[in-house]
Amino acid sequence: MPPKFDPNEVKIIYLRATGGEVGASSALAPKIGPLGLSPKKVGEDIAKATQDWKGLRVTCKLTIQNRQAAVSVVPTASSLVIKALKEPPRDRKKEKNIKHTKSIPLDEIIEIARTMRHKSLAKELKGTVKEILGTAFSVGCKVDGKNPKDVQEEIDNGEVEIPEE
Amino acid sequence: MPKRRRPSSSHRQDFLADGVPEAHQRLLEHVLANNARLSKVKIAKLPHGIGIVASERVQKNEEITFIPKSLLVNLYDIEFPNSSPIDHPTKVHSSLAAYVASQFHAPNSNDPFISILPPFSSFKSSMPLFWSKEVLTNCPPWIHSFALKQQEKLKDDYEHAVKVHRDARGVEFSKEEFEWAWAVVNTRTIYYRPKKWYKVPAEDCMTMCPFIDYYNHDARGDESCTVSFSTDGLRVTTQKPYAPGEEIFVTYGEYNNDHLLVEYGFALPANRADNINIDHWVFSKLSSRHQEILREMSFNGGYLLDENEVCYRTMMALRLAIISDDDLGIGKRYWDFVKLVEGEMEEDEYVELYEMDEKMVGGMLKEVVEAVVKYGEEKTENLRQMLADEEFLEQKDSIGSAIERWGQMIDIIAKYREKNK
Repeated sequence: MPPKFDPNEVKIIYLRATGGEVGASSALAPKIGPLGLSPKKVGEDIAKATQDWKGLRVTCKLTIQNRQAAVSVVPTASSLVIKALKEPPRDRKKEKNIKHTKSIPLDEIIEIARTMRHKSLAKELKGTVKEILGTAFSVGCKVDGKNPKDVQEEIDNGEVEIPEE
Repeated sequence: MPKRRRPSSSHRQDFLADGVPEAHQRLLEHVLANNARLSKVKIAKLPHGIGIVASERVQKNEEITFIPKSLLVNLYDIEFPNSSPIDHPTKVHSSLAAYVASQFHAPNSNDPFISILPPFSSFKSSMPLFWSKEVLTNCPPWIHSFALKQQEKLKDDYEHAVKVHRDARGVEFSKEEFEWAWAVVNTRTIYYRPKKWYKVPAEDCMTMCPFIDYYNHDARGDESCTVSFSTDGLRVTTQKPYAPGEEIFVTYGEYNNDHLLVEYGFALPANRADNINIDHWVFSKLSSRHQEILREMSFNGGYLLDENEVCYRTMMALRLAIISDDDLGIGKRYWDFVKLVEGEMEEDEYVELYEMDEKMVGGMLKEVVEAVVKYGEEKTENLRQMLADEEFLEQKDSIGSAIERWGQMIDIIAKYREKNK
């Protein structure tokens, strides 16, 4: 195509990967091979870019232009919540069906909500906090030692104050 | 945010460096009178042509140019005959070219945008699609085949323009004028697609924009300015600071020199994104059955080689090439290859399993690279002889560009060989 500044020249691919690990090519190869990139090399790049998220499932964004792939981690509610639990890194292959039972302070939930604010459609930060609490519930962890659902109710009743921004 | 002051007429001179032809002054006045905003930039004459330089110190993330929507010309600014789209499907490139050609044709045309466009002779020498057959056959094969495709498209577009714009609407232009205008549209349109236009088909986004084409291209996407679009117009924003007098670049996209040459008629002397298309030579190693399979796997064509490595597509094509036609579609050997394509087998595992075959692939790759160099040297020699021939005196610019491109390609291969001994 002749026009300049054609945004279609840049391909963006999203995929889930385990932080810090070189995953199997089966997810990568069909998407990346036809673009002329070696799945092995990109797999290593992903492992390098996700070092901070060792052992956690994260969403990665690959920006591919002219056979160069730039990897960045997209913050997602569940990865941030699990990261906030500060669990010791474990081998996903040996330990199955991990249960997250620890507790996160509410302040950290609010901090996560701020990170995720741009993705949320909620009018106020309060709404986003409740969304994150919903994620915390599905992860199975507790917030301030309580069930996240109870915290949500407390927010609704006005027992817990959430800052505006 | 403080309200921006519109530059008064006494300031307009500041946007033009010395030695820039008068016609540019008129365009400048035209865009400024139509609410375009320029800041800290001026048009200057540089060794490689007209470009934009910083007139004073420019910071990072500064908006240096704003062109309002009213100055853009696209599909929606062109009149079409009242007929059903089935009789006359809109062809954007053709219609824009007809518009430019008719503006040029008008006896007392005074459009400042038209007056600064280069003459047809400069497109004829710089764009491969206007080069003679003798020169094209000696060009790199990818350029040759692409130029032929463009010639075909130009022919179609001319027929369309004659039918829809000249015959049905009475717009006047000659064939030569149309060809010139087509090249103008090809080299100068931008892709204007603000977020609200996400439903508009890609080709309809081709937009002519005055002033923006003063910005020259640079391949370093992270250093050159970004161009962003909104429904009110388009903005150029810097990504790094500039010293006064330094040229400011934008990036058209990270293209290799082949692409730049066929689409825009220039090649960068040092293009970071440069690579060579080696389809012509890889295809010579593949049977028709191989190509059919590769097409199904979407690995057909587009084989590239750059300074550091050959692309994964090339590797996969050659890996298939060493499997004989009889074994295709059946047997463990073939299915292991399919597993590799689909990612069910890791590359390391495959390489270990078929060590001998991988050696053959390496040998084949070497042959391909040697073939490219040999072909290139032959063609360069032909071109050199043509350069000495008086018959081709008028085409010496195009021959020169072709020789230069072959030289760059052979350089890339030399660097590739150095790194992959």
